[in-house]
Amino acid sequence: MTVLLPSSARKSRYLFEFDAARALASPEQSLDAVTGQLAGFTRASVKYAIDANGRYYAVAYGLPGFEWFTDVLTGLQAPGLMIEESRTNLVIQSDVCTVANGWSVSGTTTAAANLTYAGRPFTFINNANAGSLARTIATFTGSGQKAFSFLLKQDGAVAGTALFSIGDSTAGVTRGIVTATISAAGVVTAVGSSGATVLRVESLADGVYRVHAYVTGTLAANVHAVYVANSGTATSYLISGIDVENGVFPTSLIPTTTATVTRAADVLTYNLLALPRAITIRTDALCRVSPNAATNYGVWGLGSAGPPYALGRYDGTTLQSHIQHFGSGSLVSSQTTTAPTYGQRTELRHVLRSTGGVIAALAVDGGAESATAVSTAGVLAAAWSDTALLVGNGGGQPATVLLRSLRIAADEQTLAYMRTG
Amino acid sequence: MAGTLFLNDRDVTTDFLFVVQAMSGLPGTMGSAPRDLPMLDGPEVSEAILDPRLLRRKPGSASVRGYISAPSVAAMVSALDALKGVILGGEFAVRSGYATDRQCFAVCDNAPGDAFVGEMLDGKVALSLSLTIRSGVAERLVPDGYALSTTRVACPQWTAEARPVIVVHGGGAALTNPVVTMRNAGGDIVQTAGFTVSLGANDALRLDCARALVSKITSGVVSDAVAAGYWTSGDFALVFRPMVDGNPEAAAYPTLELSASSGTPVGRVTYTRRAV
Repeated sequence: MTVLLPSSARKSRYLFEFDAARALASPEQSLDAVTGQLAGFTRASVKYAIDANGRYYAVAYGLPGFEWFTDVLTGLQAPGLMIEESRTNLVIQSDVCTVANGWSVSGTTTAAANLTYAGRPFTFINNANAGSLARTIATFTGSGQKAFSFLLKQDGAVAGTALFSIGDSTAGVTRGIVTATISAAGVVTAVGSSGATVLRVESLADGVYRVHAYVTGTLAANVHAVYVANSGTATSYLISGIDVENGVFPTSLIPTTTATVTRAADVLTYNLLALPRAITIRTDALCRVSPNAATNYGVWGLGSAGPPYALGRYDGTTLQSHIQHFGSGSLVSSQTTTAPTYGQRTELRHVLRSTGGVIAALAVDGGAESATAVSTAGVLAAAWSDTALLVGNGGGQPATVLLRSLRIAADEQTLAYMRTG
Repeated sequence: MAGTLFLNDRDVTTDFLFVVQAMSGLPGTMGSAPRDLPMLDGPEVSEAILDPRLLRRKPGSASVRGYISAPSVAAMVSALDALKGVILGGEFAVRSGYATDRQCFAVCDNAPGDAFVGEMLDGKVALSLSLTIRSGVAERLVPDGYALSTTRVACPQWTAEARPVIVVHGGGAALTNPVVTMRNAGGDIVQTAGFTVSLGANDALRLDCARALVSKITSGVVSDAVAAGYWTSGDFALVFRPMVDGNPEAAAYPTLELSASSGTPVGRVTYTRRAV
């Protein structure tokens, strides 16, 4: 038997506490009024999330998107709040890749599948191994790295490979090939080549897999083609959710029909009302970013109007916990040596001390915490310029995370306290 | 069974063990736990339909005997002090080692000091707790959430009624007059709720069946005041009755589906499973 404290006593100790997995009829209720203060959430578009069955569902405009994942600590399917930046799917007709929808098809046949799988419509690809080709022209709005993802499902018991690629039609070169292998049991694995890198393959309901990858070297001035059937060895399979985004890793599914679609950014705002002398911010989230040395990924930002302000981030190179405290003309920063990988549960603990120094800490999958030494002191009296704490808009490029919980204490606190107090 | 004790100001994890003798009101594999918990404490009715929201469950009780083990006297003192602080301080959540995905709320009836025998033998201190289970039901630790569409989706339940929160919208397109239909595990329609409302592309309708509250959400902004009148047909609020509309032990559950006068309704249902 486990005996826990009454929840009311726990909550009263925080300025703010959000726990998406709290036992309520709806996780949205956990955003508000836990500590008598309200959180604000905005997103100026619909988005798509994954339910407890592994099926996609549309999240209404402006409502927080909760996605169910398997908690590594409890083994339960628990919800997390999706925090993502704005992205645009540059591929039109992402789900039904037929001639009628503007796709070029040769040596094969494509047709809308009769059924939906994992909550999404699919395209049936037939005779895919006979010198086949199915492609569409995408207009890229920026050069460089592009996130590339798609949904793939086995047709019957057909096994083999399916090739997906992005080519530069102007330069006549391939920017990346993803070779997906469908086993006899329907399990999908994937590898990248010729400029493509596969980040992960995600298992969903109904035998559907989502392949997350990226390609490099695209040029906005050139014409690009996206290939979804390119002479693999599997005679047939089902595809959907063809998605190319300006980014170094894919985000959640963005279906399109007759035009490109932009999914707006998720922004969770919390007004602290009165700023404390010291503060501890603990974000418990599934890390869904991939390292990129050119970019730090902001998890939260305090003071959005410019310095002085404070930022809690994943370091872009290694995803280590990183905090920057921009004081009045002085910058202090701190970083751990522990680094998570994509999809791991990370507990980021960021402390701003009353002396103006900062501490960054990180624990992975419920393990021991790695924390930095206290940084040199800053000037806390001007540590930030307003009282709005924004999650999902921290310091330029927001991190993509699945937020399990957020706790803010008006003092310096340990991880043990923030986990259980 | 082994357990973990969480505290407010301290986090004491120790090797304290409990042997649960009986705990009425908890489901599942609680061994010889009696199931004689009085179920209803509401108004008497005859030949009438009773609103389930009027029902109140009487509290159950639990007798727990066990022992705490610790590697040293100092650790034992700390563990006992921590345990006293929790269980004698008010209502607390109780989880069973046999069913770790659920919890109920209880208070300890022992007078301070009575629960603990102060003698330490072989690194163990015996204790006896008398608990009153205040909630009468066990709740799942995390909510369930499932996509809704025009096809049926099963909503897994435990043995007690649950009241869902349902969000319906057009998936980025307009939607008119949505209807939520609940069927039993056999496919028969048991409840419907129809709403006369025009939803724009950025609008949604939220049905809070615990509060019997209908909210129209316009571009992310909730407007409760005008929304109640949208319910125009059928039964609202919808209630999952797992022992009537299904059989949880056979994984036979009620289903939900959506329809509308125009547009393609989509949405999501969330609820917390409960068990008696």
